[in-house]
Amino acid sequence: MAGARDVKRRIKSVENTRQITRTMELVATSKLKKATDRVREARPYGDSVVSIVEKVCSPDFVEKFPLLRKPAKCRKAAVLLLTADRGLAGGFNANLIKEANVLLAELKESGTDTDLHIVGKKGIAYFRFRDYPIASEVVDVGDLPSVKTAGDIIAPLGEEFSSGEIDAVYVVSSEFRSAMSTPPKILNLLPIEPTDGKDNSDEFILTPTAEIILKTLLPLYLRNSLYRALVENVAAEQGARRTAMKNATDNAGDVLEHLTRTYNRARQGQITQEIAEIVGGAAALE
Amino acid sequence: MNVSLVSPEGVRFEGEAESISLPAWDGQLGVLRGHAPMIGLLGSGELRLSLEDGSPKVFFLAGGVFMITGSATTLLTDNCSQEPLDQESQDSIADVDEIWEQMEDVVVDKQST
Repeated sequence: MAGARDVKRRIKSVENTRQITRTMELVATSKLKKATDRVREARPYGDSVVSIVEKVCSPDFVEKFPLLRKPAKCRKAAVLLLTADRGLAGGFNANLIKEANVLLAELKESGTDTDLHIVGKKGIAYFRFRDYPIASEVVDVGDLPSVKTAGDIIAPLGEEFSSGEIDAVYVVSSEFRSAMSTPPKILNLLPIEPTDGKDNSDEFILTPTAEIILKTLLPLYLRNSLYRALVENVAAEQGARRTAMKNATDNAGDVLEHLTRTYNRARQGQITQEIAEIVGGAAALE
Repeated sequence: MNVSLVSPEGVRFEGEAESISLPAWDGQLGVLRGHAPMIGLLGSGELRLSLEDGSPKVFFLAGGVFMITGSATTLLTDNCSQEPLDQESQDSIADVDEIWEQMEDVVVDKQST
């Protein structure tokens, strides 16, 4: 049996670990709250942009706007993978990477070339280690992604799509259903899926013209879709981290209980042994 | 009439107003109850609301889109504040002259086809 002193040392170490995981849990909880607020606050703008695009868009614009084009065949696609900069969030990053790998394999099978764009250190580290070619990298998006960051990331992809270099843009990110459930999902950002296909523009007076409004609105639409994905991803990351750290804290508690029992048993054993020795010694003197 | 001023980071203002004067791309546009449905670009300038109790409310904005439906007016903008905006954010919006030129192109397109 391990000596009481060794067990005591282990108890100390587990207690320290538990203190750290508990702190991380608390930090994640407070960040999660801020992140979910941002997800909620981003919603009205996104909904309005989508509804205005639907109203202004009419089927005959498809030829006029490169961003609305519908490639007959997808020759090359861009995959944008959103991961976190930090780990210790359970399976969060691993799930996203797995989803991206599945998507890349599927695209390859259907004969599509792929460009891989990655946001977040964890995804970059994974693919760089495997010598997978990465088209672009973005790090340090942080806990509060800005609209500008989203615009900077998506603008080059939008241009590549407009010029015909790529025929599709997929975004792999986490869906924030709740703090407990953050499954990865794939968003087909481009080509923009046809709206209801009707020409709604007659119902509204359009100023200056539908074309000029769309020219402003489509980049906003793209940027906002990505912004939503970014804020949702941050919220999902914090949710996953909180769950992981809560489990770690609970586990540390279980381990501590077990270790404390072992320690008490060892201590009791030592006392019993000492008494036996004293009694033995006294008996020898008689 | 319901007014909402929305930026990507959240709703900046939402409430009832008697009348609205909003900075459209080509100048101030007055909106009262029952205005025809309309979608258009925003320029830079002041959004003046006259609330139901008669008190005024002013926002400064630059760029974006507005939509007027029968009962509600929605303004989407990146730059809005209750303080006057700096020059930089005002420069980011489309130039009125440029829009006129584009409009002429569109009209020529339509005539030629």
